[in-house]
Amino acid sequence: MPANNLIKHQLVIKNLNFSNTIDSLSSSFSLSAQSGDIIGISGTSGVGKSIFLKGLADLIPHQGFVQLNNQVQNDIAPHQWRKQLMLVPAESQWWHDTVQEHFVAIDEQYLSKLNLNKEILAKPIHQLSTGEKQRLSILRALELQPKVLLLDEVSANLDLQNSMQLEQVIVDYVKEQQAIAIWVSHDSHQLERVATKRLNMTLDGLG
Amino acid sequence: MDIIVLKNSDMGIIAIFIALLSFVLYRMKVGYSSEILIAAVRNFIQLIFLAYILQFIFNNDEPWQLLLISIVMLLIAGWEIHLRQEYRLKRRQSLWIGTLSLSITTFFLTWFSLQVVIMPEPWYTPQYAIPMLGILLGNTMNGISLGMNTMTQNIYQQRHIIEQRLMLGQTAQESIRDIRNASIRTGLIPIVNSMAVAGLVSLPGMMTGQILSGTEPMIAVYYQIMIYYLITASSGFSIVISTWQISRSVFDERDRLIISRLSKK
Repeated sequence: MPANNLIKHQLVIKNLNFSNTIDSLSSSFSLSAQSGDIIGISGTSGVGKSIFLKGLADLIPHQGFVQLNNQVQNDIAPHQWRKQLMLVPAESQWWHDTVQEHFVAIDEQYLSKLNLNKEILAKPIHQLSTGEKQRLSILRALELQPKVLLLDEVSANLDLQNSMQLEQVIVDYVKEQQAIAIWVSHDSHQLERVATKRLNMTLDGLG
Repeated sequence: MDIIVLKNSDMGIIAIFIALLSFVLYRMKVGYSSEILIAAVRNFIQLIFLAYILQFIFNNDEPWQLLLISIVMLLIAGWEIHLRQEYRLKRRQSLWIGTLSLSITTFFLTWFSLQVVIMPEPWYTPQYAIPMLGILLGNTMNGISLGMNTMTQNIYQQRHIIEQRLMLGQTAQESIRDIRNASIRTGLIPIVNSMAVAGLVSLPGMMTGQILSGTEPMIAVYYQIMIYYLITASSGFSIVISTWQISRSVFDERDRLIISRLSKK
C-alpha cells in the first residue's frame, strides 16, 4: 500500500439503534474511536454484533448518530461512506469468474504475507477454499484503503497460523494507514492479541 | 382468390384430435387431460366472442370503442405479467411496472406504424389498429414477464452478492448492473431466436393466416417482417424500462438493498 497522508481519524457513534426496523433488537450502541484503535467486540450470538457493523456501513436502516471526522453518515453519498467504513463479512461473495477480476492491482507482497502464491489470482472462484476466500476478501478490502475496517469474524475458517498472519496484516494496515478497526470475533484469544480496547456487547449495549 | 370459409362442423372435426389426445393422456395417467379440454373450450369461446366484438367495432367505426377495447387488452396483459411473477414487489409495484412499460412501448409503436408505415384512412381504422396492437401486446407481454421474472429471481438469489458489492463502495446501480443486463438478455432471447429462424424452421403464424385466407405470399411476408421488427423493438424497450424500474425499487434512498420488498408468490 502506498503511504497515506497521515491524517488522524475520529469515529463517533451515538445511540446507534435498530428499534424501528428490527423488533427483536432494542439495544442502542455508543462508541468513539480514533486512528490506531482496534476495538475488539465480543458477545453472545444474537446480541446484534453483525447488525451493528451493517448499521455502521449504512447497509441496513437504523437510527442514531454516526460521524467520521467531520462527516455525518447521512450527509455523504452512501457508496462514498462505505468506501471509508468498509465491512468485511464472515462469508465473502465473489461475482466475476476469476480472483484477479475482483482486484484493481493487487500487491503481491500481501499475498505472500498471507501464505498465498500469485497463481491464485488466475484461479476460478469455485476452486477456492473457504479459507482462501477469507484471506483474499481482506486483501480486496485493504486495497480500497478504507479509513475504518469493520471486521465480522474474518478468520472464522482459518487455522491458528493463518489466522495470526491475517491478524498481522490487519494490525500493520491500521498502524501504517492510521486507520481504525472494529473487530467482531468470538475468539477471545484473538481479540487479546489484536485489540487496543475490548468491549462486550450485551442486550443493554456496548460495555 | 376466393376464401374458403370454415364452419362450426369443421371445428368439430378437428376437435376430435384434441379429444383423442386428452383420452390418451387420461389412460396414461399423465394427469393433464382435463386441462387440455378446458383450454380448448376456452379457446373456442374466447375467440368466437372476440370475433363478435371485432365485427361490432368494424361495423360501427367509433373511435371510443377502439380506445376502450385497447385499454381492456392492455389491462389484461398487465395482469397476466403480474400473475407470472414468482417474486413480486410489495404494494403492487410489479403490476404497475409491468403495465406501464407495456403500455408505453406498444401504444407508441402501434400508433407510429399506423401513422407512418401502414397509413390506413383514418389511421385508427380498427381492422388495422386492433390486430397490430394485439400482436404487439401479446408478444411484449411475454418478453416483459420473462425479463422481470428473471430479474427479481436473480436479485433474490444473489442478494448477498449485491450487498457485498455495496460493501466495497459500489453504488446501488453498479451493484445490480450485471443482474439487470443478464435479465434483459434473457427476456430478449425468445423473440430474437424466433426472428432469426423465421422462414427456415417455422412459418410465422400471422403470415400463415394471411396466406391461408388468400393474401399473396410477398404481401404477407412484408407484413410479417414489419411485425417481427415491431415486436422486437417493443419487447426490448419495455424490458429495458421494466428492469430499470425494478433495479430502482429494491433499494432505498441510501442505496440499501431492501430484500423484503420482494415477496414470493
